[in-house]
Amino acid sequence: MSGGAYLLFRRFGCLWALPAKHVTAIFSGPKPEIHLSHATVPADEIVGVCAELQRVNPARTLGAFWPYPCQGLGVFAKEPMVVLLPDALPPLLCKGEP
Amino acid sequence: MVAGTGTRRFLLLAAGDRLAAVDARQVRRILRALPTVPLPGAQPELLGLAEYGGEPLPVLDLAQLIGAKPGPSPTFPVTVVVWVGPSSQPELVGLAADAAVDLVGIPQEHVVPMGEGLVAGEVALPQGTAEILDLSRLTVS
Repeated sequence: MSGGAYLLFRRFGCLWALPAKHVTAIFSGPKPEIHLSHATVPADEIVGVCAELQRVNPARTLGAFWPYPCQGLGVFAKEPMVVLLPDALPPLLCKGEP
Repeated sequence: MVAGTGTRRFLLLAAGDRLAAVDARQVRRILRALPTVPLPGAQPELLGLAEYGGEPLPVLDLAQLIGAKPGPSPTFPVTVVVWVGPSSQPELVGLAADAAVDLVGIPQEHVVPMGEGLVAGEVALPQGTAEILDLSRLTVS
């Protein structure tokens, strides 16, 4: 996967994006999983890989009402998404976290 | 927002059992309520994310923001797209409200200043008492 690409997946009804260069493996099937070097992220659906995000807005307002750091917000196919920081994944997205 | 002289134009919004006034210069657009996707783990003020003009838009529940109690079911709920944050780093946010009520001119001397929070002042209007919002106080630095 190229350095600027993002892996898109759906979880909890939301669309999420991860920088693809941090993804070490993807397991498809009825319970898809995304593996990073330090975490495993279950997904409801692997949406695909986006070569380049058109827009990533800093999300200062989001930070006031959502407790997890993120790279920003983007849109893919008219759907809003959160662009995650691989080193600071929300615990609720990670396997084995409460 | 309440400092200065003269009359400013405000958009009056119904939110639950309250009225809120937003400086008209900060309003970019009033839309029929945008569909939102809730974010897990978000505070109740954050209704979710929406798409607006190809850009992501966090949408906040105005009634939750000002602590309003639920009002009658809205007949024409709206999303008001507004500029928030400091003028050096403005950011677009959606405010989900029960209705856009009116556009009014409010003389500065009629405003009763309040605390340092989102509600910067209060004003008595024919439509009722309105809370004047200072949207520059909405984001975190």
